[in-house]
Amino acid sequence: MRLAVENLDVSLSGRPVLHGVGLTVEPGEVVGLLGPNGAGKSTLMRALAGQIAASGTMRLGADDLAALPSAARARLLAYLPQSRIIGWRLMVGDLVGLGRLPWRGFGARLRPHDAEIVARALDLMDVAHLAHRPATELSGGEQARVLAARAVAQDTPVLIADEPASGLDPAHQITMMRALARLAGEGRAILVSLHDLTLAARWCDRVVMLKDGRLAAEGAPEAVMTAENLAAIYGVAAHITRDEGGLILAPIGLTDGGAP
Amino acid sequence: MKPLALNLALALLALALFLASLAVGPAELGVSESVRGLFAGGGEAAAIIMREIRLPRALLGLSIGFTLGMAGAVLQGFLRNPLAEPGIIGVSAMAAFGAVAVFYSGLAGSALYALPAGALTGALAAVLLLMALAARNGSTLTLILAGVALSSLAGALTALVLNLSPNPFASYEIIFWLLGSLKDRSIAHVWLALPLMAAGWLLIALSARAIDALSLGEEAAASLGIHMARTRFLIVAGVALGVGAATAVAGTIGFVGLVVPHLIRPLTTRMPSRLLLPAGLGGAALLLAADVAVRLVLPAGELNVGVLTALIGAPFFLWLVVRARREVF
Amino acid sequence: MSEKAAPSRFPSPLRGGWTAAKGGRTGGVLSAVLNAYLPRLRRTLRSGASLWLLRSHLPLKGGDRASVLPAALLTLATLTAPAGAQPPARVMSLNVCTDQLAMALAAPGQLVSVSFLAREPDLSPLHREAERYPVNRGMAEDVFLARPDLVVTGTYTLHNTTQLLKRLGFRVEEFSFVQTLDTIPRDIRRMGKLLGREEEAEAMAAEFEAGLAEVEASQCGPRPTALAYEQNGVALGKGTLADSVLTAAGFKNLATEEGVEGMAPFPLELVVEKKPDIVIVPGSKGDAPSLGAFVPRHPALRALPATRIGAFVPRGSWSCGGPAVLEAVKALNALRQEIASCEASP
Repeated sequence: MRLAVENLDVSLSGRPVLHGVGLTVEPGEVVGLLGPNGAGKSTLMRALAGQIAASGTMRLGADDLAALPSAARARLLAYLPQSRIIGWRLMVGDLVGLGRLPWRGFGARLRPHDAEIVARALDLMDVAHLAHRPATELSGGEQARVLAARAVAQDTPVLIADEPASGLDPAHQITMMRALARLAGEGRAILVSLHDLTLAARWCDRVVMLKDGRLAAEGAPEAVMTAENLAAIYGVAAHITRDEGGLILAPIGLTDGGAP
Repeated sequence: MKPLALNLALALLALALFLASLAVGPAELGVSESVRGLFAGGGEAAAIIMREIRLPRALLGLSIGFTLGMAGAVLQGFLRNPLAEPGIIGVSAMAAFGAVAVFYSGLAGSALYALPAGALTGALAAVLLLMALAARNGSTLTLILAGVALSSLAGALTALVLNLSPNPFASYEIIFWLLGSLKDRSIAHVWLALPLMAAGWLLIALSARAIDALSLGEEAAASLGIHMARTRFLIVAGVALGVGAATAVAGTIGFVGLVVPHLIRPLTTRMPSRLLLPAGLGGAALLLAADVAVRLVLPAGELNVGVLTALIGAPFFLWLVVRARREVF
Repeated sequence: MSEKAAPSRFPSPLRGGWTAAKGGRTGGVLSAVLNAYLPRLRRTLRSGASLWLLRSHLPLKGGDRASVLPAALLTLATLTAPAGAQPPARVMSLNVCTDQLAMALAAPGQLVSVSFLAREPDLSPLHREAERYPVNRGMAEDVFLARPDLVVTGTYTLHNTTQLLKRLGFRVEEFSFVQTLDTIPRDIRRMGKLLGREEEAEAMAAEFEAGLAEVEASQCGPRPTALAYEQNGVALGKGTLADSVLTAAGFKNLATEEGVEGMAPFPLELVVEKKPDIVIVPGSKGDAPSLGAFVPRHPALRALPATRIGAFVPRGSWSCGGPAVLEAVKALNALRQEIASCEASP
């Protein structure tokens, strides 16, 4: 299912945050959302998830995203917020099971089919061995993967993840990105915001770069993740190399004379 | 513990205490006499005592305890705050003030229905105010401080209204409103409060999915298809109806909604919705037990049951505050 | 004097203290709780409040408070020299019960003011007469302003006011509130003597004794049981005025039989179990609402098939030990004759 956004404007408390942003995420594609802090990445994702009001068009397949009832949207689009909140001492398995809420009748327990999807999500995020541990007693990185598994368990055609890899160790950053790529491989459309440039360059099919609430660059990583764009958008000088897996980007200084 | 086993055990406990509540009283009735009185009817002393005095009291203990336990569980779940409870956050105190303001002003003569009318209004105002505060700033501290302020204000206004009443007895009823009691209620009180409380239970039950999803915060909950405005309405209305009606007939009974969910939560999966029914049953058991205890401890000059729940609950609350700094529940 | 022993128709904290409690209670919830549970502490608090009121509310427009107070005290000391043989010209009553005796006996112009409760029909049989007098709130400053030669009041009632007034040099006469039918003629005579109205008092006391003797002479046989059941389920037991009235009218007082001394809570269940022949409840006419009023009207009482429930005594007639109590005795005696006639059972 294709996610298409055109001409999106969002204001927060009267202050315009996004100006005429447009992007598409095709089924089977991982699109990386890049940009410095305050560029509007999270705002864009929250608008897509229906959490804040926006003007412009947001289409999910043939449906107008803004017009979908919240229960129906929850079966089409999963959203992993940046804030990692775990309110009670829930078991990991139960927590991930919450992802099945949109599919469950009132008060019903998990059916075998739901349990299967939950088990797959646990596996995908490499947290199956934690299923019977209280989520609050895990490390930050484990919690991040558990919460991501919850969004995966929603089993939607579209997944939007806000910085799912932040705070993860290198191995689990790769686990996370590989999981997203696998989900895309199943035909889902994935939009993921990232701060790690190399991670974005090597795991995303395309990247969208925002600056000051406007679309700054969009295209394949090789095409848009250039030294010029990084300087213009992030204000950093980067050392860019490549190997058979793609680009390797290392920010090494600030463009305003802060080079080492 | 399996949810079914837990609910069954708590239901049996509540039932046993309900029967104990029917069996305890200054008139020393034998078991067979009590049972006959309860079912036979007629003008016999035993029948009148059982049906007009003890049965209403036991029914109120059961339903008010259920309401307070469930209201505590749903507020804790909704606010993701282990210290939320109708008494602590000032809902009960505002309900008491509402009841006092309408009843003692004589607006409705001395009609009983003035009590719930006022209490529901007071409770509703309190819940709306607290939700607005919690929405702006979700911290535990804000909520508790707001509750302290609201409770003190409501308590002072209650005292003021009672002092201004031309009835010289009114000012001595402050005790009842601050530390409630189930003494000498009649079946009229049951009919007055029970339908409202039942409506409250229903609304709270309808919010079960939402409070589960809210374990992950409002954003994640909304992404799971939870309609936040609807959820807020269900919980505001449910708590206001339940606690308002309970306070209208029994005064402020604090801490039941705090203690019970905490005692029972470790026996559940900790999923907030799975706590609602057990907390209700546990609340009923606790209030009935406390109400039996006050009749046994001081049979003549009977202690208000609100005194006992506060004596149990306040130290528990302090212990929770200490523990809350280190742990997640 | 203990609270329970105060034999009056109303809970003694009320009777004794609610005038001052209403005026002096400022601390909201906490003090309300203290008021109810710790009467002794309350008294202490109240005396503090009264002193404060006296200091801050002296009517010294534009004057220097600090310097005027000692001067005022000096003046007082000279004003309130012993009255000697002369009857007091200015008498002030601070308590609803002394109000009754004073209004009934005082010479025209002799009574300066009565308590504001004297105008309450439920408490004061002479509430109509009371309209003709100015009323006071029982505060020391009321007295201070009125400068009476004699203050009459109850023991317990406004206890600290009494102490304060005595310290300020006023002549204060206290009437005990352990009242029964026996104490009434004595109190009438004592009030007569204090007011210099001995003849009137003697006539009134004699009439009372005669009326009472007549009723007592007509008693016979088995006595029906009665319960005087007040707001919040408080019963009037042994040593109360109501107890002596019930006995004189030919009833057994259920509360006394059950060991209640003075005023004490009496469980509703016991009332139902003991099935008294009559339950005397407060009249509900024109009362402002209170929850306590629901208890004597509880459905459980109404469900008793053979029990008569009602106010039965004329409004306010037995709230104070005064000549009006005879009306209560007569009314209850008539009821008793109706329930178990002496003529039917010789």
